[in-house]
Amino acid sequence: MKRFHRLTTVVLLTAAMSSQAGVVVVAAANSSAPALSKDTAARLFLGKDSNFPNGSAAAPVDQAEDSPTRSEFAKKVLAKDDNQVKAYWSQQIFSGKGSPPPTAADDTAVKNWLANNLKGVGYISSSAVDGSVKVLLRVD
Amino acid sequence: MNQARKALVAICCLASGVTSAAVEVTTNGFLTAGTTMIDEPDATFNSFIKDRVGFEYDSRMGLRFSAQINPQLEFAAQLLSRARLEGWDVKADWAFASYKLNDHVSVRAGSVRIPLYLASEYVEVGYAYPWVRPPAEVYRLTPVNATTGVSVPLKANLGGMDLLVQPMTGSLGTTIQSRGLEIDIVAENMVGGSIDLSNDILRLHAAYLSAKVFADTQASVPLFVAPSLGPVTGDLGITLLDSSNYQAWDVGMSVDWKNILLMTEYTHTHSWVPLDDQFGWYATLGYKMGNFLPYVTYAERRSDDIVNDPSTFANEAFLLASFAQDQNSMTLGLRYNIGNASALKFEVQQASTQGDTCGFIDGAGPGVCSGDFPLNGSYNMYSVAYDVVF
Repeated sequence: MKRFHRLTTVVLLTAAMSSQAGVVVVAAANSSAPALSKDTAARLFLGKDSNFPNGSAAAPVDQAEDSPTRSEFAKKVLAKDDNQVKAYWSQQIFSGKGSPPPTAADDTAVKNWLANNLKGVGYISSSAVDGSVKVLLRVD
Repeated sequence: MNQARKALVAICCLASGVTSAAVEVTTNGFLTAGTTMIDEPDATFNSFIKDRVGFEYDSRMGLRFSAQINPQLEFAAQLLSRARLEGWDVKADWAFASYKLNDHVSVRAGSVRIPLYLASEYVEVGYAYPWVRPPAEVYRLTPVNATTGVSVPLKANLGGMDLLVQPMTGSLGTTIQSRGLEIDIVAENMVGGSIDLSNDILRLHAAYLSAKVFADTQASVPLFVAPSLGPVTGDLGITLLDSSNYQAWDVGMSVDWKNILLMTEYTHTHSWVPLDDQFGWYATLGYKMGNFLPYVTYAERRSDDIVNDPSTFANEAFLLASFAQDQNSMTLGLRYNIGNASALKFEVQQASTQGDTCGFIDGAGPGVCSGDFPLNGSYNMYSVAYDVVF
């Protein structure tokens, strides 16, 4: 019985970890982009800043609206839920103030996009980090 | 509006021309399907809302096109089509060319937004605010949203707060629906602007607008009955404002903190004649619970120094005396987010008209409201709206 409990705990923990794996803000491995704080990352992805803190131009890429990584990023980095993000961009778009970043379908698509954009900055699930990207911010 | 159309045509031509030059044109849209009724038999609210289910007042759709020609130059235009007044005719809501001088300063020319109120710049986009429609006590006081002219948005980051200053100048000619009349307005020498200070939680807003305004109506004016002058009928060409110095101020604040949403705004207009001073304010308090946002709004409109002596202004006074729209209202609302791009909203409003006026119930002459609605009376309004952005 004790062993069953332990097993259940492990299974539950693993399930919890996979849904809350953490999200990382990344650039291409050979990018000169500096490390980011939550605040500076949020400002880039909300279109409030167009440059990295070191002054070089930044080109953010979002994930598609149905991506769970996008919701996690919005909650943990932008401090907004999906509806708040949508309302924010509605206000920006229809007042002519700005447009949201282009989107890539998922973690792999973001990595492919970054590989072709040296100015690019995106976010992926921390489990998807590999040698093709440089981590600028890690949020658990 | 003609100039806005020309600008739009230019943008459309450019947009079609640039496809080959690989400039991407992004398109976004919004739609509101709304229905509203009041519970007063035969009375009308702002010409359209009656005692039966009607869809004209709030229903509208818009399309916004944007073409980024290079990192500095952008063309953007928004088409608006609505049931009210225009009968779904498509109009250019705004259309401008924007040139970014640097990260802090850009210049916009064309048909640009007048950023008077908190939600002025996206007032047609129901999804972008909590209400079915912004509180009329404030938003209908200066009911124009765009001008042909120039604005120079200035942005700065001030240690945790973002500053946005938007000075603008321009002129406009438009027709608005107010007090049951179609009123032609020409505003010249328009100068104004807004200052916004915001962070993720708080937004503070202040704005000012001044213009020389000419306003008249050629509409068929409803039968006026006045004890001293008897009934007046027929088509009256009446000058309401003749080169009047019109001024409007607004201060507002919105707070979006955890589950709490608070919005409040105070506005004041000064136009010497026919109404010297008008004031409006509201406060909305909401509490987010998942996809539900229940909210309550209290709003007031007041007027001072109404010209109401028929011997002074003869026929004009008939109109002027019915121009004050003093009222208080309390609204209970519920917004329900469906998915993350649409919302369904319900509102019940109880309003009581004040100061011997009809409030927002249309007038039918001095001291006479449409549908025998009494002065200082009260009415209920029920609204349902479905908002989508795409």
